Amino acid sequence: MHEWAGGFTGALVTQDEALEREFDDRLRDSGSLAFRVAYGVLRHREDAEDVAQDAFANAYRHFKSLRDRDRFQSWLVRTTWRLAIDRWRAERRRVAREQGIGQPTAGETNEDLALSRERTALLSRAIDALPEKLRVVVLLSAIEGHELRDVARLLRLPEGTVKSRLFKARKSLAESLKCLKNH
Amino acid sequence: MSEEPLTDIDAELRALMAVEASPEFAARVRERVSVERMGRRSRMVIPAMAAASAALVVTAWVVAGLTMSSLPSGIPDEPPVRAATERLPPVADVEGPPPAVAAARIGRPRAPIAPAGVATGSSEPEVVVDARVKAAVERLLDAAPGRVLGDPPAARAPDPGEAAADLVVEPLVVEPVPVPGIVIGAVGFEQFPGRSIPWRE
Repeated sequence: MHEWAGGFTGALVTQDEALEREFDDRLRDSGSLAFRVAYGVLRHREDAEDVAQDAFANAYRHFKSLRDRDRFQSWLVRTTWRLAIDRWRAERRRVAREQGIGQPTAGETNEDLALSRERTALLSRAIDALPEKLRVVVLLSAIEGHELRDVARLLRLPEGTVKSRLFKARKSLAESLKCLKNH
Repeated sequence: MSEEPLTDIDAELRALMAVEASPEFAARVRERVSVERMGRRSRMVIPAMAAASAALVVTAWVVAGLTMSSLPSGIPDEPPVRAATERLPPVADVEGPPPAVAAARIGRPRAPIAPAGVATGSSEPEVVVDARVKAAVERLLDAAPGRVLGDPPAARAPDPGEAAADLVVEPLVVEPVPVPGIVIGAVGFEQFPGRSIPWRE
């Protein structure tokens, strides 16, 4: 009986190992994507890493049904987004986040840094003011290398829908920035 | 976004999203996942062992059921009841090869085949005593003093008076037995030495 049970558990472990190797591949492929989605919402590196980590742990629990690469990335983006929004709404580290944005780089003066900070803060506020379905489109599109069809695939939306939402988001951002500048 | 030229806002958004995770990020995620993995394995092994045990029990049950269904229909479930005067087969038969029916009993609870009251598992041949013989022996034992076998002697001891009345004493008859042969006059032989012993014809 012991041999039979050992073989049974051995088969389970082997199957498990194959799943884990696949999951490691997905982690390499999509680690940066999850982090950037979280960062687009939170604009805080540590918070974004925490959220991405939670999203991956969640993905691991459901990985048997998420083995397809496209399905996995789409699920990961949505989960990371939801977790990030939850954290953003909590606003625990909002003050620290705004104070910590940007560090002066080589050749950048304090005046440049102040302007950059101001601009980034304005943009952040404008992004935060967007409706969620526009915000996720504009942030995913802003990730380098992502084209419309990539965003459509990740959000499981038609490309036309993504295009129209992106247009609306840009228009709204431009208006918000102008409005914020004038104030 | 490649279909349209980048606006200032697009450039700013790209700059905003161009941030990379820290070098420790991947290691931290792996560590977190390994914790999940250990928890999942420990959760999986116990149900797997339980499922294996349950499957084994079910298999054994099914095999036992099939074996029972393949038994000849003539075999009774109850042990055979023997008559009081019936004798068991001799030792040679008991120790001989088992009958074919015995082989078909694999996996079946074994019922004792000895009559009630006879200890099973003994290698000694069973002796069944005829009821009439047993009663006669009991009567003899009842009459004997210091009885130790069987039922209590007090319950069955015969009345001494009754025993005397039942006793029939045959008269003793002594008959002379003719003995042909030598008659030796030992005394005469001693008193008269040198004389021959007379032979009777």
